[in-house]
Amino acid sequence: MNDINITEAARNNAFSRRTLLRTSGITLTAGVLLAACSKKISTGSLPRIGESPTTTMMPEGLVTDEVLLRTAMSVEYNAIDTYATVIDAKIFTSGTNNILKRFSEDHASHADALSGLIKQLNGSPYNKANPNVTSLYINPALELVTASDDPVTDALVLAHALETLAAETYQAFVVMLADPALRSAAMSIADQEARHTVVLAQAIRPGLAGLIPGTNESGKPLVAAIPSAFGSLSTIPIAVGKPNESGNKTTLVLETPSLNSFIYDYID
Amino acid sequence: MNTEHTAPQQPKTSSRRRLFSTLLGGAVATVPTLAASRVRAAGASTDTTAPETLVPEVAEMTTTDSTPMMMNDAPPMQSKTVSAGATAPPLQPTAQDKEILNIALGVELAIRDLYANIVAAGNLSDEESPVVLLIHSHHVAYAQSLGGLLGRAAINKRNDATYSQFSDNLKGTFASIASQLVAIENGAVTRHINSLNQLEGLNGSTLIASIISIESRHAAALASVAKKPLNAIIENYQDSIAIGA
Repeated sequence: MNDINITEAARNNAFSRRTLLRTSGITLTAGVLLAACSKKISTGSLPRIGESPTTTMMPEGLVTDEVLLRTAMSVEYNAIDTYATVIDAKIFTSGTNNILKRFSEDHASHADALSGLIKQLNGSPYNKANPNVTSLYINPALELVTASDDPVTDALVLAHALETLAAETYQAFVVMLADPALRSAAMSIADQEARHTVVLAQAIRPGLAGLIPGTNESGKPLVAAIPSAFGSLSTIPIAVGKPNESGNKTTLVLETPSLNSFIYDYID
Repeated sequence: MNTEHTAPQQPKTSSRRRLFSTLLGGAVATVPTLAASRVRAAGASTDTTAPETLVPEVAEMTTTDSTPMMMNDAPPMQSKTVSAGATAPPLQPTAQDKEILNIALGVELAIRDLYANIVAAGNLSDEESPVVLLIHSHHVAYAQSLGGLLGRAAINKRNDATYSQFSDNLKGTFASIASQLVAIENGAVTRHINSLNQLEGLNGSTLIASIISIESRHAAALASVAKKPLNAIIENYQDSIAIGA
Protein backbone atom coordinates (compact mmCIF):
# COMPACT_ATOMS: atom_id res chain seq x y z
CA MET A 1 0.00 0.00 0.00
CA ASN A 2 2.77 2.32 0.90
CA ASP A 3 4.45 1.74 -2.47
CA ILE A 4 1.24 2.50 -4.34
CA ASN A 5 0.79 5.70 -2.40
CA ILE A 6 4.29 6.91 -3.10
CA THR A 7 3.99 6.27 -6.85
CA GLU A 8 0.70 8.06 -7.07
CA ALA A 9 2.01 10.98 -5.07
CA ALA A 10 4.93 11.18 -7.37
CA ARG A 11 2.73 11.15 -10.46
CA ASN A 12 0.56 13.89 -9.01
CA ASN A 13 3.56 16.10 -8.15
CA ALA A 14 4.34 18.64 -10.93
CA PHE A 15 7.94 19.02 -9.72
CA SER A 16 8.93 15.39 -9.77
CA ARG A 17 12.62 14.47 -9.78
CA ARG A 18 12.39 13.41 -13.41
CA THR A 19 10.94 16.73 -14.45
CA LEU A 20 13.54 18.59 -12.46
CA LEU A 21 16.39 16.66 -14.04
CA ARG A 22 14.97 17.05 -17.54
CA THR A 23 14.46 20.78 -17.12
CA SER A 24 17.88 21.41 -15.68
CA GLY A 25 19.47 19.29 -18.40
CA ILE A 26 17.77 21.25 -21.15
CA THR A 27 18.75 24.52 -19.49
CA LEU A 28 22.40 23.54 -19.17
CA THR A 29 22.57 22.21 -22.73
CA ALA A 30 21.05 25.42 -24.04
CA GLY A 31 23.61 27.41 -22.01
CA VAL A 32 26.46 25.43 -23.48
CA LEU A 33 25.15 25.97 -27.00
CA LEU A 34 24.73 29.70 -26.45
CA ALA A 35 28.24 30.06 -24.97
CA ALA A 36 29.75 28.21 -27.89
CA CYS A 37 27.88 30.29 -30.44
CA SER A 38 28.41 33.66 -28.76
CA LYS A 39 30.26 36.48 -30.56
CA LYS A 40 33.95 36.99 -29.95
CA ILE A 41 34.53 39.48 -27.17
CA SER A 42 36.93 42.17 -28.21
CA THR A 43 36.60 44.55 -25.33
CA GLY A 44 38.79 42.77 -22.84
CA SER A 45 41.27 45.64 -22.47
CA LEU A 46 41.79 46.96 -19.03
CA PRO A 47 41.58 50.73 -19.28
CA ARG A 48 43.84 53.06 -17.41
CA ILE A 49 43.01 56.59 -16.50
CA GLY A 50 45.06 59.14 -18.40
CA GLU A 51 45.94 60.14 -21.92
CA SER A 52 48.80 59.48 -24.27
CA PRO A 53 49.54 60.29 -27.88
CA THR A 54 49.13 57.56 -30.43
CA THR A 55 52.05 55.16 -30.36
CA THR A 56 54.21 55.21 -33.45
CA MET A 57 56.45 52.21 -33.88
CA MET A 58 60.04 52.99 -34.84
CA PRO A 59 61.54 50.93 -37.62
CA GLU A 60 63.83 48.18 -36.46
CA GLY A 61 67.51 48.99 -36.95
CA LEU A 62 69.78 46.18 -37.97
CA VAL A 63 73.53 46.72 -37.83
CA THR A 64 74.76 45.54 -41.20
CA ASP A 65 77.92 46.22 -43.18
CA GLU A 66 76.00 48.89 -45.08
CA VAL A 67 74.97 50.63 -41.85
CA LEU A 68 78.53 50.58 -40.54
CA LEU A 69 79.89 52.05 -43.78
CA ARG A 70 77.17 54.75 -43.80
CA THR A 71 78.12 55.61 -40.22
CA ALA A 72 81.81 55.80 -41.12
CA MET A 73 80.88 58.04 -44.04
CA SER A 74 78.97 60.34 -41.70
CA VAL A 75 82.04 60.66 -39.47
CA GLU A 76 84.08 61.68 -42.53
CA TYR A 77 81.56 64.46 -43.15
CA ASN A 78 81.82 65.48 -39.49
CA ALA A 79 85.52 66.09 -40.07
CA ILE A 80 84.94 67.91 -43.38
CA ASP A 81 82.34 70.22 -41.84
CA THR A 82 84.46 70.93 -38.75
CA TYR A 83 87.54 71.81 -40.80
CA ALA A 84 85.43 74.11 -42.95
CA THR A 85 84.14 75.89 -39.85
CA VAL A 86 87.60 76.23 -38.33
CA ILE A 87 89.09 77.52 -41.59
CA ASP A 88 86.25 80.03 -42.00
CA ALA A 89 86.84 81.23 -38.43
CA LYS A 90 90.35 82.30 -39.51
CA ILE A 91 91.93 80.92 -36.38
CA PHE A 92 95.09 79.72 -38.13
CA THR A 93 97.66 81.11 -40.48
CA SER A 94 97.46 80.14 -44.12
CA GLY A 95 100.12 77.44 -43.67
CA THR A 96 98.11 75.55 -41.07
CA ASN A 97 94.93 76.17 -43.02
CA ASN A 98 96.52 74.51 -46.04
CA ILE A 99 97.27 71.41 -43.95
CA LEU A 100 93.68 71.34 -42.72
CA LYS A 101 92.43 71.73 -46.28
CA ARG A 102 94.57 68.76 -47.29
CA PHE A 103 93.12 66.72 -44.43
CA SER A 104 89.65 67.76 -45.51
CA GLU A 105 90.38 66.57 -49.06
CA ASP A 106 91.56 63.24 -47.63
CA HIS A 107 88.29 62.88 -45.77
CA ALA A 108 86.37 63.67 -48.93
CA SER A 109 88.34 60.91 -50.71
CA HIS A 110 87.51 58.52 -47.90
CA ALA A 111 83.84 59.42 -48.19
CA ASP A 112 83.95 58.78 -51.94
CA ALA A 113 85.60 55.41 -51.38
CA LEU A 114 82.97 54.48 -48.79
CA SER A 115 80.22 55.64 -51.12
CA GLY A 116 81.48 53.21 -53.75
CA LEU A 117 81.56 50.35 -51.25
CA ILE A 118 78.04 51.15 -50.06
CA LYS A 119 76.74 51.15 -53.63
CA GLN A 120 78.34 47.75 -54.17
CA LEU A 121 76.19 46.55 -51.28
CA ASN A 122 73.12 48.07 -52.99
CA GLY A 123 72.92 50.66 -50.23
CA SER A 124 72.42 54.40 -50.22
CA PRO A 125 75.45 56.55 -49.37
CA TYR A 126 74.97 59.04 -46.54
CA ASN A 127 76.38 62.38 -47.63
CA LYS A 128 75.90 64.24 -44.37
CA ALA A 129 77.59 64.58 -41.03
CA ASN A 130 76.52 62.31 -38.20
CA PRO A 131 73.86 64.35 -36.36
CA ASN A 132 74.60 62.85 -32.94
CA VAL A 133 78.33 63.43 -33.21
CA THR A 134 77.66 66.99 -34.35
CA SER A 135 75.23 67.86 -31.59
CA LEU A 136 76.91 66.00 -28.74
CA TYR A 137 80.58 66.70 -29.39
CA ILE A 138 81.44 69.04 -32.23
CA ASN A 139 79.04 71.93 -31.71
CA PRO A 140 79.79 72.27 -27.98
CA ALA A 141 83.51 71.99 -28.68
CA LEU A 142 83.42 74.62 -31.43
CA GLU A 143 81.59 77.03 -29.12
CA LEU A 144 84.30 76.58 -26.51
CA VAL A 145 87.11 76.89 -29.05
CA THR A 146 85.81 80.15 -30.51
CA ALA A 147 85.40 81.60 -27.00
CA SER A 148 88.80 80.36 -25.84
CA ASP A 149 91.73 82.51 -24.78
CA ASP A 150 93.95 80.24 -26.91
CA PRO A 151 91.84 79.26 -29.92
CA VAL A 152 94.83 78.08 -31.97
CA THR A 153 95.85 75.37 -29.51
CA ASP A 154 92.25 74.46 -28.73
CA ALA A 155 91.35 74.11 -32.41
CA LEU A 156 94.38 71.82 -32.88
CA VAL A 157 93.29 69.78 -29.85
CA LEU A 158 89.78 69.46 -31.28
CA ALA A 159 91.13 68.46 -34.71
CA HIS A 160 93.42 65.88 -33.10
CA ALA A 161 90.48 64.46 -31.15
CA LEU A 162 88.34 64.28 -34.28
CA GLU A 163 91.02 62.43 -36.25
CA THR A 164 91.48 60.06 -33.31
CA LEU A 165 87.72 59.52 -33.23
CA ALA A 166 87.68 58.70 -36.94
CA ALA A 167 90.59 56.25 -36.65
CA GLU A 168 89.03 54.57 -33.62
CA THR A 169 85.71 54.28 -35.42
CA TYR A 170 87.22 52.18 -38.21
CA GLN A 171 89.15 50.04 -35.77
CA ALA A 172 85.99 49.48 -33.71
CA PHE A 173 84.05 48.47 -36.82
CA VAL A 174 86.52 45.72 -37.76
CA VAL A 175 84.94 43.30 -35.30
CA MET A 176 81.44 44.12 -36.59
CA LEU A 177 82.05 44.00 -40.34
CA ALA A 178 81.09 40.63 -41.77
CA ASP A 179 83.13 40.86 -44.97
CA PRO A 180 86.94 40.57 -44.46
CA ALA A 181 87.51 42.73 -47.55
CA LEU A 182 85.59 45.56 -45.87
CA ARG A 183 87.67 45.18 -42.70
CA SER A 184 90.77 45.64 -44.82
CA ALA A 185 89.27 48.65 -46.60
CA ALA A 186 88.24 50.20 -43.29
CA MET A 187 91.72 49.89 -41.81
CA SER A 188 93.34 51.28 -44.95
CA ILE A 189 91.33 54.45 -44.29
CA ALA A 190 92.10 54.31 -40.56
CA ASP A 191 95.78 54.17 -41.52
CA GLN A 192 95.58 57.66 -42.95
CA GLU A 193 93.41 59.02 -40.14
CA ALA A 194 96.05 57.83 -37.68
CA ARG A 195 98.73 59.63 -39.67
CA HIS A 196 96.66 62.82 -39.49
CA THR A 197 96.69 62.53 -35.70
CA VAL A 198 100.48 62.42 -35.71
CA VAL A 199 100.77 65.63 -37.70
CA LEU A 200 98.37 67.39 -35.36
CA ALA A 201 100.04 65.95 -32.25
CA GLN A 202 103.36 67.27 -33.50
CA ALA A 203 101.78 70.68 -34.06
CA ILE A 204 100.58 70.68 -30.44
CA ARG A 205 103.68 69.12 -28.91
CA PRO A 206 106.54 69.24 -31.40
CA GLY A 207 109.83 67.36 -31.51
CA LEU A 208 111.01 63.96 -30.36
CA ALA A 209 109.59 64.52 -26.89
CA GLY A 210 106.15 64.91 -28.42
CA LEU A 211 106.26 61.44 -29.94
CA ILE A 212 106.13 59.59 -26.65
CA PRO A 213 103.51 59.78 -23.86
CA GLY A 214 104.10 62.29 -21.09
CA THR A 215 102.34 64.28 -18.40
CA ASN A 216 102.24 67.93 -17.41
CA GLU A 217 103.11 69.40 -14.01
CA SER A 218 99.75 68.41 -12.56
CA GLY A 219 100.02 64.84 -13.82
CA LYS A 220 97.55 65.14 -16.69
CA PRO A 221 98.48 63.21 -19.85
CA LEU A 222 99.82 65.25 -22.74
CA VAL A 223 99.03 64.73 -26.39
CA ALA A 224 101.46 62.20 -27.89
CA ALA A 225 101.99 61.12 -31.48
CA ILE A 226 102.43 57.49 -30.35
CA PRO A 227 100.13 57.26 -27.34
CA SER A 228 100.11 53.51 -26.72
CA ALA A 229 101.30 50.13 -27.99
CA PHE A 230 97.93 49.11 -29.43
CA GLY A 231 95.18 51.16 -30.99
CA SER A 232 92.82 52.33 -28.27
CA LEU A 233 89.03 52.19 -28.41
CA SER A 234 88.51 54.20 -25.26
CA THR A 235 86.88 57.60 -24.91
CA ILE A 236 88.74 60.71 -26.05
CA PRO A 237 88.83 63.46 -23.42
CA ILE A 238 89.74 67.00 -24.47
CA ALA A 239 90.10 70.17 -22.42
CA VAL A 240 89.20 73.30 -24.39
CA GLY A 241 87.74 76.75 -23.89
CA LYS A 242 88.36 79.69 -21.63
CA PRO A 243 89.84 78.61 -18.27
CA ASN A 244 87.58 79.02 -15.25
CA GLU A 245 88.55 80.70 -11.97
CA SER A 246 90.62 77.68 -11.01
CA GLY A 247 92.46 77.79 -14.30
CA ASN A 248 90.84 74.65 -15.66
CA LYS A 249 89.37 74.35 -19.14
CA THR A 250 86.11 72.59 -19.86
CA THR A 251 86.56 68.87 -20.43
CA LEU A 252 84.57 67.14 -23.16
CA VAL A 253 84.61 63.39 -23.73
CA LEU A 254 84.21 62.12 -27.27
CA GLU A 255 83.15 58.57 -28.11
CA THR A 256 82.99 56.57 -31.31
CA PRO A 257 79.50 56.11 -32.79
CA SER A 258 77.51 53.31 -31.23
CA LEU A 259 74.00 51.87 -31.53
CA ASN A 260 72.35 55.21 -30.75
CA SER A 261 74.31 57.08 -33.41
CA PHE A 262 74.62 54.57 -36.24
CA ILE A 263 73.22 55.71 -39.58
CA TYR A 264 70.68 52.94 -40.10
CA ASP A 265 69.36 52.24 -43.56
CA TYR A 266 66.00 53.90 -42.76
CA ILE A 267 67.70 57.24 -42.00
CA ASP A 268 67.66 59.60 -44.97
CA MET B 1 5.54 -5.78 -4.02
CA ASN B 2 8.88 -4.50 -3.13
CA THR B 3 10.34 -6.56 -5.86
CA GLU B 4 7.80 -5.25 -8.33
CA HIS B 5 8.55 -1.71 -7.29
CA THR B 6 12.32 -1.93 -7.54
CA ALA B 7 12.46 -3.93 -10.70
CA PRO B 8 11.00 -1.22 -13.00
CA GLN B 9 13.15 1.44 -11.25
CA GLN B 10 16.40 -0.12 -12.37
CA PRO B 11 16.29 1.16 -15.93
CA LYS B 12 15.27 4.60 -14.65
CA THR B 13 18.35 4.73 -12.43
CA SER B 14 20.50 3.83 -15.40
CA SER B 15 18.86 6.55 -17.46
CA ARG B 16 19.58 9.09 -14.78
CA ARG B 17 23.21 8.11 -14.76
CA ARG B 18 23.35 8.61 -18.51
CA LEU B 19 21.79 12.01 -18.07
CA PHE B 20 24.35 13.03 -15.45
CA SER B 21 27.14 11.69 -17.62
CA THR B 22 25.86 13.67 -20.57
CA LEU B 23 25.59 16.83 -18.51
CA LEU B 24 29.06 16.34 -17.07
CA GLY B 25 30.46 15.73 -20.54
CA GLY B 26 28.77 18.84 -21.81
CA ALA B 27 30.16 20.87 -18.95
CA VAL B 28 33.65 19.59 -19.64
CA ALA B 29 33.24 20.43 -23.29
CA THR B 30 32.08 23.91 -22.37
CA VAL B 31 35.14 24.78 -20.27
CA PRO B 32 37.60 25.04 -23.21
CA THR B 33 35.07 26.98 -25.21
CA LEU B 34 34.57 29.52 -22.45
CA ALA B 35 38.31 29.64 -21.78
CA ALA B 36 39.00 30.25 -25.44
CA SER B 37 36.56 33.10 -25.54
CA ARG B 38 38.32 34.64 -22.52
CA VAL B 39 41.69 34.29 -24.23
CA ARG B 40 40.32 35.98 -27.31
CA ALA B 41 39.02 38.80 -25.16
CA ALA B 42 42.38 39.20 -23.45
CA GLY B 43 44.14 39.14 -26.78
CA ALA B 44 41.92 41.89 -27.99
CA SER B 45 43.43 44.22 -25.39
CA THR B 46 46.57 44.50 -27.51
CA ASP B 47 44.53 45.68 -30.45
CA THR B 48 45.06 49.42 -30.08
CA THR B 49 43.35 50.08 -33.37
CA ALA B 50 39.91 49.50 -31.86
CA PRO B 51 39.65 52.11 -29.12
CA GLU B 52 35.92 52.48 -29.75
CA THR B 53 35.34 49.23 -27.90
CA LEU B 54 36.57 50.66 -24.60
CA VAL B 55 34.42 50.41 -21.55
CA PRO B 56 32.08 53.40 -22.00
CA GLU B 57 32.45 54.78 -18.48
CA VAL B 58 36.19 55.07 -18.83
CA ALA B 59 35.99 56.43 -22.35
CA GLU B 60 33.73 59.18 -21.08
CA MET B 61 36.31 60.16 -18.50
CA THR B 62 38.62 61.47 -21.18
CA THR B 63 38.18 65.13 -21.96
CA THR B 64 39.81 65.09 -25.36
CA ASP B 65 39.75 62.89 -28.43
CA SER B 66 43.10 61.29 -27.63
CA THR B 67 43.17 57.61 -26.89
CA PRO B 68 43.27 56.72 -23.21
CA MET B 69 46.50 55.09 -22.18
CA MET B 70 46.17 51.34 -22.15
CA MET B 71 48.26 48.84 -20.30
CA ASN B 72 49.78 47.70 -23.53
CA ASP B 73 50.22 51.15 -25.03
CA ALA B 74 53.66 51.80 -23.59
CA PRO B 75 56.10 52.91 -26.32
CA PRO B 76 57.86 49.83 -27.67
CA MET B 77 61.57 49.44 -27.07
CA GLN B 78 63.41 49.02 -30.33
CA SER B 79 65.88 46.17 -30.22
CA LYS B 80 68.91 46.78 -32.34
CA THR B 81 70.19 43.48 -33.43
CA VAL B 82 73.78 43.18 -34.52
CA SER B 83 73.71 41.12 -37.63
CA ALA B 84 77.08 40.07 -38.89
CA GLY B 85 75.77 38.27 -41.93
CA ALA B 86 74.24 34.89 -42.60
CA THR B 87 76.84 33.06 -40.54
CA ALA B 88 78.79 34.69 -37.77
CA PRO B 89 82.54 34.73 -38.35
CA PRO B 90 84.63 32.55 -36.02
CA LEU B 91 86.39 34.13 -33.07
CA GLN B 92 89.48 31.96 -33.01
CA PRO B 93 91.90 31.82 -35.95
CA THR B 94 91.12 29.26 -38.62
CA ALA B 95 93.84 27.05 -40.11
CA GLN B 96 94.37 29.61 -42.87
CA ASP B 97 94.39 32.43 -40.32
CA LYS B 98 97.18 30.69 -38.42
CA GLU B 99 99.38 30.71 -41.51
CA ILE B 100 98.74 34.41 -42.07
CA LEU B 101 99.23 35.29 -38.42
CA ASN B 102 102.47 33.31 -38.30
CA ILE B 103 103.80 35.43 -41.16
CA ALA B 104 102.79 38.55 -39.21
CA LEU B 105 104.52 37.13 -36.16
CA GLY B 106 107.70 36.48 -38.15
CA VAL B 107 107.61 40.05 -39.50
CA GLU B 108 107.19 41.53 -36.02
CA LEU B 109 110.05 39.42 -34.67
CA ALA B 110 112.25 40.63 -37.51
CA ILE B 111 111.38 44.27 -36.84
CA ARG B 112 111.98 43.74 -33.13
CA ASP B 113 115.47 42.47 -33.91
CA LEU B 114 116.16 45.36 -36.27
CA TYR B 115 115.29 47.93 -33.59
CA ALA B 116 117.31 45.95 -31.05
CA ASN B 117 120.33 46.21 -33.35
CA ILE B 118 119.90 50.00 -33.62
CA VAL B 119 119.79 50.35 -29.84
CA ALA B 120 122.77 48.03 -29.44
CA ALA B 121 124.83 50.05 -31.94
CA GLY B 122 124.77 52.98 -29.50
CA ASN B 123 124.46 55.73 -32.10
CA LEU B 124 121.36 57.30 -30.60
CA SER B 125 121.20 60.54 -28.65
CA ASP B 126 119.49 60.88 -25.28
CA GLU B 127 116.42 62.29 -27.01
CA GLU B 128 116.33 59.68 -29.77
CA SER B 129 116.92 56.65 -27.59
CA PRO B 130 113.53 56.72 -25.73
CA VAL B 131 111.67 56.95 -29.03
CA VAL B 132 113.47 53.95 -30.55
CA LEU B 133 113.14 51.98 -27.33
CA LEU B 134 109.42 52.76 -27.19
CA ILE B 135 108.84 51.57 -30.76
CA HIS B 136 111.01 48.50 -30.12
CA SER B 137 108.88 47.65 -27.07
CA HIS B 138 105.74 47.96 -29.17
CA HIS B 139 107.01 45.41 -31.68
CA VAL B 140 107.93 43.09 -28.81
CA ALA B 141 104.34 43.45 -27.58
CA TYR B 142 102.95 42.70 -31.06
CA ALA B 143 105.05 39.53 -31.34
CA GLN B 144 104.00 38.42 -27.88
CA SER B 145 100.32 39.05 -28.59
CA LEU B 146 100.40 37.23 -31.90
CA GLY B 147 102.26 34.35 -30.26
CA GLY B 148 99.68 34.25 -27.49
CA LEU B 149 96.81 34.18 -29.96
CA LEU B 150 98.42 31.41 -32.00
CA GLY B 151 99.30 29.35 -28.95
CA ARG B 152 100.90 26.05 -29.87
CA ALA B 153 100.58 26.90 -33.55
CA ALA B 154 102.98 29.83 -33.16
CA ILE B 155 106.23 29.56 -35.09
CA ASN B 156 108.44 31.86 -33.08
CA LYS B 157 110.96 32.48 -35.84
CA ARG B 158 111.70 35.86 -37.29
CA ASN B 159 111.10 36.49 -40.98
CA ASP B 160 114.63 36.37 -42.38
CA ALA B 161 113.62 37.97 -45.67
CA THR B 162 112.47 41.09 -43.84
CA TYR B 163 115.45 41.12 -41.54
CA SER B 164 118.03 40.78 -44.29
CA GLN B 165 116.22 43.32 -46.49
CA PHE B 166 116.80 46.11 -43.97
CA SER B 167 119.58 45.10 -41.58
CA ASP B 168 122.46 46.35 -43.73
CA ASN B 169 120.88 49.80 -44.12
CA LEU B 170 120.36 50.48 -40.43
CA LYS B 171 123.88 51.43 -39.46
CA GLY B 172 124.58 55.05 -38.66
CA THR B 173 122.91 57.97 -36.95
CA PHE B 174 119.21 58.23 -36.31
CA ALA B 175 118.81 60.88 -38.98
CA SER B 176 120.49 58.64 -41.55
CA ILE B 177 118.37 55.58 -40.79
CA ALA B 178 115.01 57.30 -40.18
CA SER B 179 113.90 56.88 -43.78
CA GLN B 180 114.62 53.14 -43.60
CA LEU B 181 112.62 52.88 -40.40
CA VAL B 182 109.72 54.65 -42.11
CA ALA B 183 109.93 52.09 -44.93
CA ILE B 184 109.90 49.21 -42.43
CA GLU B 185 106.85 50.55 -40.61
CA ASN B 186 104.99 51.38 -43.83
CA GLY B 187 105.77 47.93 -45.22
CA ALA B 188 104.48 46.28 -42.06
CA VAL B 189 101.26 48.34 -42.23
CA THR B 190 100.69 47.31 -45.83
CA ARG B 191 101.37 43.69 -44.91
CA HIS B 192 98.83 43.76 -42.10
CA ILE B 193 96.15 45.56 -44.13
CA ASN B 194 96.50 42.91 -46.81
CA SER B 195 96.26 40.22 -44.13
CA LEU B 196 92.91 41.58 -42.97
CA ASN B 197 91.56 40.81 -46.43
CA GLN B 198 92.04 37.12 -45.75
CA LEU B 199 91.63 36.72 -42.01
CA GLU B 200 88.33 35.15 -40.99
CA GLY B 201 88.67 34.89 -37.21
CA LEU B 202 87.65 38.02 -35.34
CA ASN B 203 90.29 37.75 -32.61
CA GLY B 204 93.06 37.80 -35.19
CA SER B 205 91.41 40.60 -37.17
CA THR B 206 90.95 42.85 -34.15
CA LEU B 207 94.52 42.28 -32.98
CA ILE B 208 95.93 43.09 -36.41
CA ALA B 209 93.69 46.18 -36.64
CA SER B 210 94.95 47.48 -33.30
CA ILE B 211 98.54 46.94 -34.48
CA ILE B 212 97.88 48.82 -37.73
CA SER B 213 96.52 51.81 -35.80
CA ILE B 214 99.84 52.31 -34.01
CA GLU B 215 102.29 51.17 -36.69
CA SER B 216 100.76 53.87 -38.91
CA ARG B 217 101.63 56.34 -36.18
CA HIS B 218 105.15 54.92 -35.93
CA ALA B 219 105.65 55.53 -39.64
CA ALA B 220 104.20 59.03 -39.58
CA ALA B 221 106.09 59.99 -36.42
CA LEU B 222 109.41 58.79 -37.82
CA ALA B 223 108.71 60.56 -41.12
CA SER B 224 107.83 63.70 -39.20
CA VAL B 225 111.08 63.82 -37.23
CA ALA B 226 112.95 62.99 -40.44
CA LYS B 227 111.51 66.24 -41.85
CA LYS B 228 109.69 64.45 -44.66
CA PRO B 229 107.14 66.43 -46.70
CA LEU B 230 103.48 66.20 -45.66
CA ASN B 231 102.59 63.74 -48.41
CA ALA B 232 105.30 61.33 -47.24
CA ILE B 233 103.98 61.54 -43.68
CA ILE B 234 100.30 60.96 -44.32
CA GLU B 235 100.45 58.62 -47.31
CA ASN B 236 101.68 55.06 -47.54
CA TYR B 237 102.76 53.77 -50.93
CA GLN B 238 105.22 51.25 -49.51
CA ASP B 239 104.90 47.70 -50.79
CA SER B 240 104.22 44.99 -48.29
CA ILE B 241 107.24 43.52 -46.59
CA ALA B 242 107.80 39.77 -46.45
CA ILE B 243 106.08 39.23 -49.80
CA GLY B 244 105.88 35.55 -50.56
CA ALA B 245 106.65 34.55 -47.00
